[in-house]
Amino acid sequence: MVGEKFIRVLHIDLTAGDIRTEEREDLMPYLGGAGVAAKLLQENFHPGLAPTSPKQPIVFAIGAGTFIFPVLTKVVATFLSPLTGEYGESHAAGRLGMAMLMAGYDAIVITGRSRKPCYLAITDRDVNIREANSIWGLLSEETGRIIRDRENAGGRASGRRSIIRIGPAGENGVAFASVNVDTYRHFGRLGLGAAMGSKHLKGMSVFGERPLPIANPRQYFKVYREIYHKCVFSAGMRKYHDLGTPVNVKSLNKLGAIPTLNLKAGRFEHADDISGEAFAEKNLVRKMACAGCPVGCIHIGMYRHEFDKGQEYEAINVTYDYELIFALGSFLGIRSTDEILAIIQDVEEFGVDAMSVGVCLGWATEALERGIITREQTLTDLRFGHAAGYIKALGYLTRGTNEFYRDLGRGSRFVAEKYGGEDYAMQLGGNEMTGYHTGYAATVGQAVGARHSHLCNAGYSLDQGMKSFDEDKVVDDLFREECDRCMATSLVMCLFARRIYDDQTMLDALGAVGWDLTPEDLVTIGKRIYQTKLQIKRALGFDPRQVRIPKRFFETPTIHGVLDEGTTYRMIGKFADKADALLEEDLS
Amino acid sequence: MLDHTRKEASCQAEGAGSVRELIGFLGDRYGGAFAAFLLDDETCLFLINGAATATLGGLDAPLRPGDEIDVLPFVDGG
Repeated sequence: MVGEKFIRVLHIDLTAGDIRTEEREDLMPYLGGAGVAAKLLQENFHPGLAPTSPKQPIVFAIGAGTFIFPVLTKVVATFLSPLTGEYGESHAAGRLGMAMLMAGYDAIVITGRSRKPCYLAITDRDVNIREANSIWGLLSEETGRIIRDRENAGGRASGRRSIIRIGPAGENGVAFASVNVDTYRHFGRLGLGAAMGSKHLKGMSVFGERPLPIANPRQYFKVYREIYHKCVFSAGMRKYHDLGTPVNVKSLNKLGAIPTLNLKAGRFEHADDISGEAFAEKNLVRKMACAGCPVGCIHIGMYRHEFDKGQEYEAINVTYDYELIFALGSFLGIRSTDEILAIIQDVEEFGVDAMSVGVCLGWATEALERGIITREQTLTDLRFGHAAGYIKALGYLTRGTNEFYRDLGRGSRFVAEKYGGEDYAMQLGGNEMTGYHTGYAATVGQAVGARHSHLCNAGYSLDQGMKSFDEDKVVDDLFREECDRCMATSLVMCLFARRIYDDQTMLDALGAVGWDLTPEDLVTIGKRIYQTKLQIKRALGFDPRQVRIPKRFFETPTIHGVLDEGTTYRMIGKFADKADALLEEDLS
Repeated sequence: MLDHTRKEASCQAEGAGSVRELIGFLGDRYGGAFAAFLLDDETCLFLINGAATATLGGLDAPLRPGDEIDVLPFVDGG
């Protein structure tokens, strides 16, 4: 807690209806965010039970500097992933970090299963478990509107309250169901939505008006201004406001690293038509920012939707980012911005992870092409470039219309193991691939990363920056970045600002709010957090040496040419050796 | 990037034998701030005839007459 020497944890048991708080001095060595969330998961999880067992916990944690400094906006959620069966971690911002801070909770641990659908209403004054029978089954947007109307604190909450919620996919147990945060942000990856759905938990509203004590205001404002200046005026950050992450489309296409047609290729002939520039010209209507961020990277696009043939149109606003454009665009051969926005709209409303669902549909399209599955199973024509079929399939998948879609809803690894086509089911460690087929570092990094995300260790960034290839150096760099990012995400920063918050900036920021840390402490904290995650992963049976990478990754060229299978697995082994060594270290 | 180049999206460079020399040429043409911007390790990427310099020797990658160089923003996510 800012200005205190403890972490304040709210525990909610949905089975018993028990609610209690703890003030934990012993969690301070984990700082906040990813550190505290991982530690609380470790204390509360049950390795022998399914990820959706009522006893399994869901943890939300803000960081040591959340909302206090620019771009430290995010909340870390940890859970057992219904998709991979192992460690689940997902980050989101919106207003949730600010709201948890103002409500007075550093972390929230949710266990148990409510007998009937419910949502949580959390404020700085009280915590309530509300009935949600009437909103169970509703789409994400309408659910948000109803909770917003109900939890308005007499009108004081407007603009300061955060509302997270799941859609039908989370209720129906789709393993990669997402959680919508304040309409335009998400806990997207690894199936937090299914974990919430398994608890009959439809959503959560958080609001508070607590004062925030700053220990050293003079130092605080000095550090704040310096960071703010870097955020607003550096070229590296400005691109996020200008075109946003879709600026990556043209660059990755030029590099031959944008996954296209289920990664049959790394270049998309229609890339210019779905580029950041194309969205800006045709669809962009406004930009927004998460609470506490001066950058404003959230890009909202508008498209026209015809209710039915010959009927009226409505204008629909949806947010778009690079990851969605790759997964629902180039990966599926979709060549128009309007069609991509239309698919995103359903992804939002049903509540599924855009990357996982795009990659799963890519596998299904190729499996249908090859005759591994049939039109009778897919119920619609799945063809690269045809948006209408994918929109229908999204509905079938969310509802679990038949056995095939229920299987597809368990992820590409599961469905390929059952039906075949594992060589082109584009997952790494059970999590569907991300939009960067850049080289060894990206592929190895996602395969071994704690949450199997490109953001664990930024392998795609290493691939771009390296001047020559040295596999030992790449493994060392990946491992160090994984540890460093554990530290960074305990603050919790949006990783766009990774380069702004160098070690000295982190120390200055923490020092201004009462932390007395050294550069060595930052390294130790990062290693301690990563060690905790590795302990959880090991308890859940994850062994990086057992990871099997689909052949397609070794067929489609990257920036560094076609990847060699032996080199890739050797690098994974070396990374695993380093992880084993870290597990033996005494970091208490 | 176009702010530095007064909105010029392409130009001809003569006599540059490497990417580093090309950056020197661009610095002379558009100003030292642009050269510094291009030299930042994690701001820009260079492609020589479509191939990333990461595979060609980095900033010392050799250039020949007629080569086409793309300067792209470094790809990040968050």
